[in-house]
Amino acid sequence: MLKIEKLQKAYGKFIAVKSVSFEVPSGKLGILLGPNGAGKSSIIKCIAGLLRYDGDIEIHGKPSKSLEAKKVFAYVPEIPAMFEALTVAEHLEYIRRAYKSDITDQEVEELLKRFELDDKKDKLGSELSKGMMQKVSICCALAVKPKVILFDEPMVGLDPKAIKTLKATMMELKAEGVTLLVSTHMLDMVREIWDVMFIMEQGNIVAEYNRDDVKDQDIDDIFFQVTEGE
Amino acid sequence: MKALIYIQIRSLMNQIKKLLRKPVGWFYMVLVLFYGISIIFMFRSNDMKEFPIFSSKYNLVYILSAFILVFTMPSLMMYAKKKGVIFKVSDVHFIFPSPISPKLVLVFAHLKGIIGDLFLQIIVTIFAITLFDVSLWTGILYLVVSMTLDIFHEYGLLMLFYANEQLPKKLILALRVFMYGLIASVAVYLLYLYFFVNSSPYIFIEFFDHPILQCIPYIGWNIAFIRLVFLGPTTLNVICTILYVVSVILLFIYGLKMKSTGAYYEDAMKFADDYKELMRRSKKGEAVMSMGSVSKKKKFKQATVTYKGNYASSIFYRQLLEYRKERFFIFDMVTLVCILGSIVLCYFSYTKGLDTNPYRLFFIPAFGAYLIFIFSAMASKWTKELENPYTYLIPDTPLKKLWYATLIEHVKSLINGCILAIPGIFFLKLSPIQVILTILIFMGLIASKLYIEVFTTSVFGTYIGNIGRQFIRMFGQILVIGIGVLFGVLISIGTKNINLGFIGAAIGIFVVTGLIFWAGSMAFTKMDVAED
Repeated sequence: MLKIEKLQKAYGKFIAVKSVSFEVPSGKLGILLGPNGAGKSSIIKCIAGLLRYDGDIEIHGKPSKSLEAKKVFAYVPEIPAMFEALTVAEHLEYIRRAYKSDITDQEVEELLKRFELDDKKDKLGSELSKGMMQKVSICCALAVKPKVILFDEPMVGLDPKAIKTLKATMMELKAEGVTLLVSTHMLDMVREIWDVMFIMEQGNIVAEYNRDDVKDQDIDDIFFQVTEGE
Repeated sequence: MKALIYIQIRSLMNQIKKLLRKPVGWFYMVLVLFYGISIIFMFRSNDMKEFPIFSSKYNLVYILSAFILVFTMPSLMMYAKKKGVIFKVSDVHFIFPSPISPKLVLVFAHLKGIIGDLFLQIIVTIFAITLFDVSLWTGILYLVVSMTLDIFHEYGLLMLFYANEQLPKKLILALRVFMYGLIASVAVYLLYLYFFVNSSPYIFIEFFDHPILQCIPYIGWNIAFIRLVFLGPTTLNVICTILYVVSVILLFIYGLKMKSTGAYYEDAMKFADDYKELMRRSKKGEAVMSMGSVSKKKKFKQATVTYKGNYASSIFYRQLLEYRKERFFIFDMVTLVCILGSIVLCYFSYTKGLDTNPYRLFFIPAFGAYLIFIFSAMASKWTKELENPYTYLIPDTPLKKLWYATLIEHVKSLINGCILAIPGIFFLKLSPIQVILTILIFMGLIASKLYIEVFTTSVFGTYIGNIGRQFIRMFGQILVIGIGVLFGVLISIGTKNINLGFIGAAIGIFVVTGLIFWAGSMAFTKMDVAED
């Protein structure tokens, strides 16, 4: 479960996130939508512990900045940044050690194969294309075996097959009881997989929907209804 | 912790492997090995000990005191501004969100700095024992104590300025102001001594021996510790050393007990982005003054330009428009150096009688050659043309594209050459013809720098790294200057006329530069040469 209460983030005098509260239950996929500059990335970075903030964030019932919370939390940033001198396999080995993850060698192999990285595992971080970096970043997050996972624009730079694989993986994670929060502009990509939707504008959550409540209403229609009053 | 050690070890091993895969890597290894062996032989020779500077322990103390003032004070300031530790974007991605203590993350991020400091202590100890007649036991005592204190001191500072989430911001700000004050007062005192007491280099010795210096908190106490170890005890240095050791230990204990949830990650993330940008720009040879300037958005003026041509000439007009929007138009650091160079030449022609020197004709070309070397790694606006796809798509010949892409650089070097040479009519008593030739030689030298850059990028761009290309550029530059000098000397001797020799030098430089221009124009045929 991911719980955010009265989260506020200011950059100097500019308030990017204004006392935002929301919750994504275990086994559900939450999507964070909103135009550019709405404050989505700030929320994601606050949850990931990268920014100072006011308010409370709980990951699986523990304060987000505690090491206990970080052990069950994974993060896929918008722009991946590899260790230039580490190979793909070494990135995953680092994750295994840093999180004391019980992922086996066989599971790592399967993960790499699933994202078509099995023939790239000896490539250095500096030798990877942007799409490959994004795949490695996703594999590293999955290698944590997290209870809560955060995706910031995860589909950008991925090829169609990788997007399909990622969506399937997200569905599997949900089935395993993992909490997912995805920030994205690509509404098409999350159309079939979302459970709760949060629409942001100017630092506020202006609308919140459950999939069961909106039934057959299209995600595009909901979004533009809220943001443009169409 | 094991995970962080894993990153460090694997990164190091992969970097070595990568280096050894390239032939140029082996060349660097041989160079380093040769350098190391020559250093060992240098210290084994007795000639080194004959230098007067190495004769006394006092000199070692003065050198180390200067080192503390010059390096430790700015380093403290960097810590205070949270800019003393290098974070990379990969740290932000993979380390900050992981369940690793933020204090440990900090120590590992600064590991290279700490190891560098310890390495420096070992070098100082070897120097002290081999060159400054310090006994082996004193050297070992210095090494052990200073290394221990250094580790404690670095850890304490890291925790105080980065990890600290309890001390009020105002207190940290006050500490910063105090440090600025300290640096300013030391600088003012030194200037006072130099200008009003004794304007000779010996003033530094008086300064370093002054008891007040050892009383300065922390930095002065550190100097007192060095004096105690190498020169023996005095009441003052014993008291100040005790203060130093106690303050370092207290700082260390404070750091150990401090709790940190990683609030500094926000500043570190900003630093990592700036650092990435700084590295990107430095790699391209752009001059970046400071980390702070990286994140500042550049302001541009409003400007317009009328395009008086099509095809390749549009590159020139677009560059002109960009320069018009700049704060100082086409004038840059080179212009400033030329103005300063001109002032210095004028000053010396008055005070040292340079205007009667028989070699005065060569001063400005020599200065131009010097400029090329000091600004050899600095890129100008035209180099960005190689990264712009339109440069390759414009339907025109590569020769014309190269000419128009660099035309404004020739205008710049004409102006800089005039700034340098025209005052020479009055101060160096050069004839107008000599001044024109001087300007032409200056322009030729700067143009050769440009085209050698193009040539090395187009021919070696995809095969060797930046350092390798810089070596080749330097070699090319020496070749051009050498050919110019050869032409000049041969014609001077042949005709017994120095002015004709000067014309010969100008022709020589222009012919070679023209050939490099022609060869380098292939850079404008395919974009892959611009990619690293």
